Amino acid sequence: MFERSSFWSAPPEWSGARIERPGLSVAASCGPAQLVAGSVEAWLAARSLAVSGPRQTCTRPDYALRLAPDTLLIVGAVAASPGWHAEHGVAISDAGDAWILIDVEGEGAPALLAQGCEYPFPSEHGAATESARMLFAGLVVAVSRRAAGWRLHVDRAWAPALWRWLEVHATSSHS
Amino acid sequence: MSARRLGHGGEIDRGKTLDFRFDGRSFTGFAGDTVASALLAGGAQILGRSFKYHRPRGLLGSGFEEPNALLDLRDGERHDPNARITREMLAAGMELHSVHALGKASFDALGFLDRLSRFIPAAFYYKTFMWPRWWLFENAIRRMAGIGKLDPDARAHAESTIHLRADLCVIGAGPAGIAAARAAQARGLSVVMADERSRPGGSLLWRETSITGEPGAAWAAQSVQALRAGGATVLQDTSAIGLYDHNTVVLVQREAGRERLLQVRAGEIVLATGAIERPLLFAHNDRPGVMLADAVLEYLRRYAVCAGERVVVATASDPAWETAFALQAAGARCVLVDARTDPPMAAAARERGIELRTGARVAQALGAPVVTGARLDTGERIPCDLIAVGGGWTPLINLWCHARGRPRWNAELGCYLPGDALPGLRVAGSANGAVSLAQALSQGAEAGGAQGLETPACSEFSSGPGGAPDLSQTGGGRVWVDLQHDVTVKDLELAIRENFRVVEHLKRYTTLGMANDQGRTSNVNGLAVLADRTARSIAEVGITTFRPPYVPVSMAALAGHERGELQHPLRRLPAENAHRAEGAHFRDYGNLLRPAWYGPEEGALERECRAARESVAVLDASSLGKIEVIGPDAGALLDFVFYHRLSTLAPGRLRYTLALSESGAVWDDGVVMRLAPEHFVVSCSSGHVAAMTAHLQEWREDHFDLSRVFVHDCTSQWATMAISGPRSREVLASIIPGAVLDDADFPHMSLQTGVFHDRPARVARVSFTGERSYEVSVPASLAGALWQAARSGGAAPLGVEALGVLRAEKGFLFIGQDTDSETQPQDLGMDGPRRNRKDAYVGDRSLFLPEGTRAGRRQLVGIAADGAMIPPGAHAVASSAAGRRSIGFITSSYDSAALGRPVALALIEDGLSRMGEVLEFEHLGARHRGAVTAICFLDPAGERLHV
Repeated sequence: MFERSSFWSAPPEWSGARIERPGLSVAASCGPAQLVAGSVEAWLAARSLAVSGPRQTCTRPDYALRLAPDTLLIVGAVAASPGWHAEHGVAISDAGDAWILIDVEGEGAPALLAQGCEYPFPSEHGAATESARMLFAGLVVAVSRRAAGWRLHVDRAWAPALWRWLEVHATSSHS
Repeated sequence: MSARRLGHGGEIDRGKTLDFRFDGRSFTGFAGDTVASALLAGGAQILGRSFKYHRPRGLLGSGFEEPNALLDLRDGERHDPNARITREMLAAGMELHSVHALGKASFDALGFLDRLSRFIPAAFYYKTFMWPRWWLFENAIRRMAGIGKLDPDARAHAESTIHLRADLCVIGAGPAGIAAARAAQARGLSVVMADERSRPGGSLLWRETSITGEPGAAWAAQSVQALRAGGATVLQDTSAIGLYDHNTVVLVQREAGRERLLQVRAGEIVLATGAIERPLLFAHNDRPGVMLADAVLEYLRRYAVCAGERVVVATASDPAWETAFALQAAGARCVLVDARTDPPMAAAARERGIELRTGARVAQALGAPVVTGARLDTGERIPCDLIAVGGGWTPLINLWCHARGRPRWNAELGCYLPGDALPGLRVAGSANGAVSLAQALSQGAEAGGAQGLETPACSEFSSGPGGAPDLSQTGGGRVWVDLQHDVTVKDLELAIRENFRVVEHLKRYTTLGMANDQGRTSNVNGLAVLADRTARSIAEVGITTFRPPYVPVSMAALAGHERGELQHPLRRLPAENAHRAEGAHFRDYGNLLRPAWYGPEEGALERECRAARESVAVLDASSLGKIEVIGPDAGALLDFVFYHRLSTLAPGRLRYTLALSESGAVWDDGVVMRLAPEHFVVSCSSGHVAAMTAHLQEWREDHFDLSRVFVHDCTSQWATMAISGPRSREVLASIIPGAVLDDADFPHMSLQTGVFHDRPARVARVSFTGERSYEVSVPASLAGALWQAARSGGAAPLGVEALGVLRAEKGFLFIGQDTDSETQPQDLGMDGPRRNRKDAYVGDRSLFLPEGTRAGRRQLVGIAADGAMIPPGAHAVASSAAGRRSIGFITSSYDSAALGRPVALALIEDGLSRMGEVLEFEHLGARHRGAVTAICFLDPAGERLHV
């Protein structure tokens, strides 16, 4: 009674998780990341780190996403030890295991993403300071535009739900 | 009604016949038919039975305004118990049945109810079926009400919701809508246009029109082709069901029996939703064979179905004359009955052999069950098999009203029109009161932003207003206003006599306009009756509120693919697959999926509890909050937000605390650990992580320098395994080599760091079971490895259910289970900070209000059951001269394997003053007894923490 393991799909093993359809490729990964909050503009200026977002294409493995006016998610790099850095006025927490990165690429990517939220992913318009955080498929994600598509950054606890959503809707958008 | 299919014309493909069945009879239609047009052509006249009186009903209209023709439809796997057949495209093999009939539509055993109509007028159920008990009749009445039956085995299919954006969204692809779309596209705007029909053009598809020398339908097709070539998205078979904030339009698209929701965010919206014809009010106007004149014309021109051979066309305006002319040309014999004494096209009608009765009105439809004639107010009886009525036009402004637009009555046109302008929203065409094609095209172009554009040359059969409702024939007989809910003029008069004179009261008392057609063919006529019978104008009477959805939309369409596990996703543990491999029995705990126990259910709780008490067990505690609070003011923020002072914690130490609401109620508890002078971690309960993060952020932003303290939710960064039991130290040593194990150096409620698989690890010595316990946290990608390491070290798996027993034996709380929305810290025996703190913290003042200090507050105590376990929720009952009343209830209750008896926690009035008192408990008729005790049943001195 109330046994729910068969109702919920088992999470994938994240390293190597992929969804492949003609014209669409979805792949999961994780890597070093940190949350940096505080005097982030000065902190950014002191580092050669690109700021990405849903409309700012980034091809580098390391980049920053704006989650809040004073909070960045640094992906692909570890800037400093966790804790308070008084010299820079920033607070840093490790986040590399907290986020799963899901790359959605291919000509079918816009159609798949259009099922998740109303954000105009293919549009070129938009300010560079725009927040990367949005609601996608009912879940909070941060989005970075990549060369071949978009990268969804999702909390690890919610990643299995998002992955299952992508599996179901990738089949739907393909058909 | 002697309907017949013409041998030519229409949009149907006579080369593709489609066989289908209705109520056991076989019919044949053509590709391009709707189910309605095919049934009409096949001679089916009675398609259903009315809601209350089971009167026979046939087709009235041709679109979504159709109130009668709802059928049970099966098409392959698809089942729709309420298919509106005027909008269903015919497919081969469809199986259709009438609904709401005992038997079938053509013979309904409940048809006798119509003879009892005087006993069951509107609102009869407020006055009857009361004695001896309403619920004795309720089941029978519910079975008789409702239209259609759900098939629990049917599987509804829908497509995934799609989101679109456009500079302009146009609802309606009639002349005004197309003009608006073209004008907008010419200005370089992106356009989405939606229309509920299968082809663009609106009324151009069946009315005699020409635009720029082309037939209207051809102009529409070419225009849409041009729009698509220019990048516009044009959606057919798509209805707009609602208008929402920020110019969001929700559409539902139907294709091959499947629905899809489209959500459009538009810079601007143009509503070119058209208008529908109103029925005329006369006796027995609900008979099969009474149809809207515009619908008759659509069936004739689009589907080549001549709906009658001898037709009375009744109207007081020109548009219905086109119906008469077209029917006459198709070979029917028409009599035009026009209330006007000098209609302008009288001569043209006579030239075509159409008989005229001017200055006359239809007073009664004759014949039963179907129309066989019409009696005029002059007394003349005209044999006929079809009465086509044109009672004026009702602009479709529902979506305007969704956007909080206020409609305004226009006496000249006899209809409600959009009132004051709304930002970003324009209305064009007949929905905006346009009475000619030229006006519709001009309004549409203007709505699309064109300036100074010349209206294209156009012509049409007729133009002009339809006029207000005519009530001259409502004085006698049974005159139907709302066909779907069987509301007559007499019902409205009854309601008015009973003082339901406000339109909102009238609506609810009589159910006028409350069926799934939302009063499209009944509202305005009903308002006219109300106004007339209360000596007011229609403008003074007002109109009720339109709400989404504009047309019925299936639950499947709303769900799209968000069903099953996608409907309400849960947070998942990083080691979930390891638990699955161990045979975990999972349950949904709030918004989390967690192992309830492992292995066979039989004996699981006792097995796991014994492991934790006698040896060692491991629980996946990864869902517990790990909210980092960092900065010079971190301690100050925590002091303010929590009940205990936390700035006094030394680095490397932990403290248990409560979070209070501003009313002083306990809403969460947890452990705060200090990693460094300016770095804390708040470990709150699993279900409150998001709320606690928001709570900390809110007070940070409200009360503190934003440059000096920051809140990061790092819960998912760390996987945490709680290793608990007398052998827990051995397991820890096997997991974290080099860990400090000596109690003197690693006391209870302290923290150390280490390394696991070359990555940082934290080890907190904290216990929720009362046994020696260590919570080991590692980066989440190592969750599975940590679990395996603990298991390899000898720890048995421990699920959430067993944890509930273990913590209850110690009197540890589940906030929200052992507390309610009024429980304050002093009710839990935690009075220290309340007495001693002088600084401000959230909820402090509420603790000293009279409510917080009065006698009789419910306080948390233990209950030692006298006999078997007392069920959770059982109420403690006190008896007095005044009677019996509840003085509290059991919050947690378990059979304790360690103690060999039940243990329970309860919130009891003045519980802390009742130690030893034996209380009576009641639950679902059973009585129990239990003595009030301290909440800790096991090892009150806490010695097992150090075993």
